[in-house]
Amino acid sequence: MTQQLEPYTILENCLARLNKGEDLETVLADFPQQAAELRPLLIAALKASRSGVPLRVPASAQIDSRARFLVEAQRRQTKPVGFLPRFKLAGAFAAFALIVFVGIFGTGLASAETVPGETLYPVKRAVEQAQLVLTTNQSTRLDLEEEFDRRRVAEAEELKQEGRTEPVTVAGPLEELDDDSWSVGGVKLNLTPDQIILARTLLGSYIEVKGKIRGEEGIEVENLELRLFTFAGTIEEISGKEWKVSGVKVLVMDSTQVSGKPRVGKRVELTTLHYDEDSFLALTVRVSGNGSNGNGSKEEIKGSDDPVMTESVDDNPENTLEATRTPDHDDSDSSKDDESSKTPDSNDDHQRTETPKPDDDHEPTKTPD
Amino acid sequence: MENDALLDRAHHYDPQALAELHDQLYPQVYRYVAYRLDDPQACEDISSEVFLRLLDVLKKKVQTIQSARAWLLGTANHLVMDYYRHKYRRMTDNLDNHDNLPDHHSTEGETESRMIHQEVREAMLNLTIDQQHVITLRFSQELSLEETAQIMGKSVNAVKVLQYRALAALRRQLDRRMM
Repeated sequence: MTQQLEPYTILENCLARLNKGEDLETVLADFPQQAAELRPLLIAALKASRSGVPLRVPASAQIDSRARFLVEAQRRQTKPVGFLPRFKLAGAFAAFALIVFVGIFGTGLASAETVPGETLYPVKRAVEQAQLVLTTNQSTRLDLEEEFDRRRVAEAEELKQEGRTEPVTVAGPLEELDDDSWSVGGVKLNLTPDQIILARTLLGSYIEVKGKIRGEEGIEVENLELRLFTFAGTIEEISGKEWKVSGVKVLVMDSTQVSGKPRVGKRVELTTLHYDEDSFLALTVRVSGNGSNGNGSKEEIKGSDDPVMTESVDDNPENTLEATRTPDHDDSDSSKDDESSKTPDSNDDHQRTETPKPDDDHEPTKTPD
Repeated sequence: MENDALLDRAHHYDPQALAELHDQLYPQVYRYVAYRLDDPQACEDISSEVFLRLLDVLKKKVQTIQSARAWLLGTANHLVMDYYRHKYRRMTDNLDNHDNLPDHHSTEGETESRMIHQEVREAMLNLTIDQQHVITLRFSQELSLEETAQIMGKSVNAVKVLQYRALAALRRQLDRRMM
């Protein structure tokens, strides 16, 4: 009897019949008990499938793509090998230099597709770290970090598909899937009951997960936490809650913990969440080291939208933005040692875009609890 | 098998085999992407990019046309998500005035379809990655349940459940938009 079937199967049967051109009412009539439940789903399905109708494939796009594909294949096939002998004797030194260059650079390239557990994987990570360290522009560096996060997720996916077991660290928006499972950036997580309680509080946030991937089972989670982004720079502007620190827009809210007396021209260290595409929400702001002008660096916690200090005092005007893990003399953030130079950024931006809500217009004011 | 021979030649970067492989699968990739995006240029770019990336894994992972297709569509899914990640803010600004689409003298029916398409696409943005993937696979080119399962690397049953929940979520989102 059809009534014995699971709703999922009934839905699939109905979809198949609709697809053959049967009428919605006729199909539903065969499942009177489930009709109320099925109707809206089938209407949604009809909309979804009708919406596929006008999708034409432009011939020119296909031709362009094919050309690019073939050119790229050819480029890869004709890799420069076999011309080393030409350097014989006369170019011995040059050849040596080339070997060293190819050795270093080529290994970097060859490592690009590796995944955790493979010999060249550490090279890949080292190349990435070098890229980060060499990138002084803050927003470019952020983009890079996002790109690297996506690579970690892709690697985890690959390990999953290959059924391997390897330690991994992935970062991305935390999602709860329909079957009560959890995922980060689309990679399934295996959480203990305690971790699930924590996960519920972090749902939707951009988090970092450490653990071990076990093939199809996903990641056996050892640790999950919000991803923070810390950096140091010089305050260039303070207008209400909106600050500019070495070119980066930072929101300093009432809840932000502010230590010292920050004002324009002061160097500060910040721990932030990525608020939206071009601004950060500060969790803590700390005036760096030598507090001149008699301010000292006495700790004090106060509201941030205090508009008192808006004018420029150039007591420390270097405008460089330091990479996160400058081995600074302080103890403000005890947990930034592992994985060497990782700069955790908690990226509100991500969390929105993973499941963007176009009807939630404008700025998401969501901050992870 | 004919396919296997084609793949074998493609592994050796035989241009004809590559072109054939490309042309066999391009329409599916393009439709997949176009189902999710309303930016024709981005559709072309992403579809093309998906194929370039295929070259990275061709020898290692792609032994049959089916596995090539699964890989391509899976990658298309990820690239589309990346696209939204980067474009999201600008998109929300423009969501309500998408009448800047190229107009190919659409008939009334086409215009209506396009509007429905837009509605579904926007509603889909609120679904999970897997839900978006399953809806796109099932409805952008009417892949069977079995094909969808194969592409997603899941069991047929798991896809049935996923599809049920995806449609329920889509319906909720469509309802919300009506209000």
